[in-house]
Amino acid sequence: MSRSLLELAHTAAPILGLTVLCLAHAAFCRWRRNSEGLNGLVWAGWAGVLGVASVEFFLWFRGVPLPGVLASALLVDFPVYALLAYGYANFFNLGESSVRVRIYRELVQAGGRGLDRRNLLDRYDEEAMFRARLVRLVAAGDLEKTGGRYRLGQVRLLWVARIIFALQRMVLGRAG
Amino acid sequence: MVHWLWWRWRRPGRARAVLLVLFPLGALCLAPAVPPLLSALSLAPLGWAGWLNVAVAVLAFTLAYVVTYSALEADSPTLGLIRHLGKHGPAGLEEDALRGFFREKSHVSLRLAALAEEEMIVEKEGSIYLAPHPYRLFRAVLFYRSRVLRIREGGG
Repeated sequence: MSRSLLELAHTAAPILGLTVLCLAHAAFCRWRRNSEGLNGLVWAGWAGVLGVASVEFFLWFRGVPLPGVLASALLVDFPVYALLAYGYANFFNLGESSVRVRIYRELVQAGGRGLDRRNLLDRYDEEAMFRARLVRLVAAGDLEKTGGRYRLGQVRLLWVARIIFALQRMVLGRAG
Repeated sequence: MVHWLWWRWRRPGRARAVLLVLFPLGALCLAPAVPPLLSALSLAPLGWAGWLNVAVAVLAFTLAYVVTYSALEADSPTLGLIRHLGKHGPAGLEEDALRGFFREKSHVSLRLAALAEEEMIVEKEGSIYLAPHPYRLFRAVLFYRSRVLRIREGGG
């Protein structure tokens, strides 16, 4: 296999992974009739990993030495796929939980009439926002409710929160 | 480094657009250093396909950072809740205590201020309107949710 073809295959691997992720996520959402937030994304993410792995397997099958395939996969292909998958996850999550996107959608629907600020603030009831988040987090297993108390069910979002707050301090000079 | 220094001096109005240009520009500035570096390490020079691979990696990093930056700016209520619960460990919190924490900030007012700062909305005489130029990212999100994923209206 020529060097150019090999490099093209390594370029294509994460893009194929992202394509598989998008298709899997779309299929999941359409089949389940809702997104189930993070869980659907995780399943789709793993499907994307299989997409990347299939390219690596193909290269090895075509005679590329295994150490070279593994090195490229671990150092380049999977990290680039992880970045693309992360970008997709955030793109999706903008529509899932972003108040800004929801407000923007209502403004698009209102067209030239605009929206009255006071009505907007009344409509976006803080209690409804709070309850929506609790329901979503419990459904995804990120929170558990037992005996009337909420506690963390999984720590994945806690790690995300810690990283985000650390970056806020570093980049924006504030945290929370 | 340029990003960090610039933001410390004065945050630009369209921060995300600036970042989308800044990172690829930085990569282009660093690109001439790659051939001598590869030569010093006794590695073969990159062909056109190799440079394409680098471009995809730079693009992936740029997009990942820009979406992370959006999360930095926005003060996610969800992550705030998670972090607050994380501090209380296995004991957890009662719903009222969580509610009290959540209501410490008026999230909607903050979001409206953020939309105004990003020049996505204008406010006139107590009414809010979309800015004349469409915000393509949010429009893309809404299109993708409704047409590709077929998700019912919701979220927020």
